[in-house]
Amino acid sequence: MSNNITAQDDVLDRTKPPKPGPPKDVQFPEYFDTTLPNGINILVIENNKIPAVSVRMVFKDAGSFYDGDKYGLASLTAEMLTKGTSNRTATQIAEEIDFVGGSINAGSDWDGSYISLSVLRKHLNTGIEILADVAQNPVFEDEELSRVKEQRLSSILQGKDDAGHLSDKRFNKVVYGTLPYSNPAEGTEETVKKITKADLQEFYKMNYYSGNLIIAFVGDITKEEALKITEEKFNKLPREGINRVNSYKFDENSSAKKVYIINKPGAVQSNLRVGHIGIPRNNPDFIAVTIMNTILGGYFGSRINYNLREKHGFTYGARSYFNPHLYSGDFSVDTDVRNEVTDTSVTLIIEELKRITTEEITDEELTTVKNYMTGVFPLQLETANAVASRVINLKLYNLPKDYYSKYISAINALTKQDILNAAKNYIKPENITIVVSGDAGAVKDKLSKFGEVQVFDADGNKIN
Amino acid sequence: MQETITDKQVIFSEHTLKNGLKIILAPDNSIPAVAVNLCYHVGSKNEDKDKRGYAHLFEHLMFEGSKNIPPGDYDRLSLQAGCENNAYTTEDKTNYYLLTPSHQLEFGLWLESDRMLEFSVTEESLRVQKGVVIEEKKQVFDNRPYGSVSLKFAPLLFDNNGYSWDTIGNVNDIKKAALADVKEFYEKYYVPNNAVLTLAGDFEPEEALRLTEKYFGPVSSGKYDQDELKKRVSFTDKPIAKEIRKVIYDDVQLPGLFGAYKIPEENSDEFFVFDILTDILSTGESSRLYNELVYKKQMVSDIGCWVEGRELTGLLHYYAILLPGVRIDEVQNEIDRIFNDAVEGKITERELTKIKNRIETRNIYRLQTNLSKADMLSHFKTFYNTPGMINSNLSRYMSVTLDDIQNAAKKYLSGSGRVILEYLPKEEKNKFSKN
Repeated sequence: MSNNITAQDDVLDRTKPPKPGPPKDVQFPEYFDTTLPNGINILVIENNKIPAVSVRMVFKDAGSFYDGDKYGLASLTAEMLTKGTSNRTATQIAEEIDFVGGSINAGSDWDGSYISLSVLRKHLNTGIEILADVAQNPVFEDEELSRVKEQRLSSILQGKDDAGHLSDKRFNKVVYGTLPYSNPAEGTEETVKKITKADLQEFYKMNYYSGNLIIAFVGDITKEEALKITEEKFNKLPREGINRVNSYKFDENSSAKKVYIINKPGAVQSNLRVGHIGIPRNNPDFIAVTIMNTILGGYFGSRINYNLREKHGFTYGARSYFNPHLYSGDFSVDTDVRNEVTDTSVTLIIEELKRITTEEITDEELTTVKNYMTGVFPLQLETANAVASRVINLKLYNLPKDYYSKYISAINALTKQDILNAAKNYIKPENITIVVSGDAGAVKDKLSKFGEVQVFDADGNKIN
Repeated sequence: MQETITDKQVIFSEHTLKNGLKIILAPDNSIPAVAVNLCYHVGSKNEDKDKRGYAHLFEHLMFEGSKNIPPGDYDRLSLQAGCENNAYTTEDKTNYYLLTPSHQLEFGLWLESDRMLEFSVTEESLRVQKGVVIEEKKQVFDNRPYGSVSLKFAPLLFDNNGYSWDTIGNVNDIKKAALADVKEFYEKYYVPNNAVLTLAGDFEPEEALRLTEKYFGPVSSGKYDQDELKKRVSFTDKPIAKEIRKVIYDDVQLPGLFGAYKIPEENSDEFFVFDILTDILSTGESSRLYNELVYKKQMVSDIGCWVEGRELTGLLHYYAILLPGVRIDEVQNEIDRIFNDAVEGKITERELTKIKNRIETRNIYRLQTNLSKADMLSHFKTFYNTPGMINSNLSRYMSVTLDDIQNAAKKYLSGSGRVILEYLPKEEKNKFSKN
């Protein structure tokens, strides 16, 4: 169907943006939240826009943070869940879930381990059977483990080609100091080779128990169905794991203005990280810090992106991040710039860090960021899975239940002074670490003005 | 009340303004937001041979100001209105989008229509954006392991048409771009009669149509005859006669193998068949390539194949990243053996059913967001004048048979030419030259 329309003749003033109508109220979707006697926390985010269901099992505080000196242990344990159970071989698991067009993935991050299922509603039973099996009956068979380890070793090897990956590794190592977050979560060649079946079994026993399990059901499913499934299919895990006492010191890292170069001879760009220790996810100032960081470097219209990309054309893009974990976090400015302007870019970044900690932002900056955050909020609620991630994070990071229903009003209440305070408290221009992955020959001398320079190779060995 | 997508298909209406702008309206009030998607039917294949990369450079310049929007204001105003925006360029199209809160739809149409109304880019903006694009090329292609694959492929796959270079273009051509060149590009292609505007999301269709007419209606259709322009982009292409193989020594730890065959263009029946075949071969851990080469034989760390649909051609790509100590020719032989199974009709009914189930799932998930719906509607309208393909394509997948697969594999994969790139670590070259 197609019809022609004639243009109207009324005079149109294009010089000013048209006035918006009244904004519609955006409510964070309601969800069901209960805890069973065995400790499993069930969340149901019902949404029947599409006839599909996702189920996410998250084991809280059960991630790489507890790798000990066996870096890579949490992630290998999670990866091995789908590689064989007492009922199914790895091949059977893959074949059965693939056949119904679904997917099951298991993995871990610093603060948790997870298994997720995604399947059409009509194949939910098949999906649940496999999910329950891999979560509760993994066998960690030796032959499968050696395959997974070979894959991991090759991915560690490949990581040495990736400038961003090399920068992240060095940055974390320096900034987190004695905290486990300083270690590579994927492991190293040495640690991965040493990890055994017994290590995986032990990690599984300690961390995969019903008392720290969240199961989120998302999509075309009712709370009654979700409860019934959980009670009938996920009742085999022990109630408790092994209690651990966390004895790490979460004080601020003290390294000041040191420069670390990972040498990539012939690199045509420098991959930069400029930053320092940040904040844990449940820091009460998190929203103020997020808004402050958005203005500083968190979105396309930020000061740092404007300065480095739109004003100077030094880079395809520059961003800053507060990357929060359960117990700590980091702050960094990340960008890739051409070799010749590496030091100039660092200078510009430092100037921006100083400016946000010393001067109030403008009224326009504050209005823009508030409007932007409010405007894009509904986009973050468009899919049931996006809503689920937020609800799960409330649980993982011990945030209040009304966090998202109050999120917009919390943003709108912030003042210029609040933003300045957040910057003063959490951005430390005098305490930055500078990491550059690039051609040391081309950039080293010019970087020495920022502090002592140390050069490393891709394997992490010091070479000067 | 939410609607379930499988029961009710994507509902939309089509309209055309007097100046030739095609409009698609797809209302959906799940969230109070609208995706405004504008697709210009111009990509890198429309570029002159000495102006490679202009379509993409132009995409950057479109954010740099227009008649009533001074440099910097496109992004500033768009953020102030609570919108998200971005754009991308392919060989065949340049696509812009703006995600607006529903009460800012009129703002979005004002902002988007102004840059269709009148070009207004300064020398300074052009200079800065050339720098940004050159850094983009370095970051995405030059400074990334195996990042140059598409740059190397293009001239080997195509030798005398606009597909012979990658969309990112050529740094020297980009450096040479003058304001007059980009203005000409704008006047040729950035006109309503070469564009499709799709709105998907929370709006009232009559009001939305009135607003699109208000802002886009007065834009002139330009001085070029679009049919003539299309004719002047001569496109001749020929099959690859034999195997072309090239070795590239790069900053990589592990050898990589990259191959491509030419297949029929995006909307052909055979393209759907190859989409299914490549999924059978490499989607999921139970797929043939993964199961045999990653899992059973442990020769590669990563492997895959997929189809790339273009307006005037199609490509079947495959790649493998080798585990240490494995030889490239061994992996190539295994891939050829598995492809040959398809040629000999050894794909099973169960494999076909499995992938049809997968495609059904994929299709449903793709319709979850306004942006994805708008992008597909614009695409199908731009190239096939049939936005309804968003609903009807699934049945084209479902009707593919095992015979179709064997026939297509025989015709395009067996005995025909292909291009193969072998990426080897630089140290290998040194070893070799010492011998």
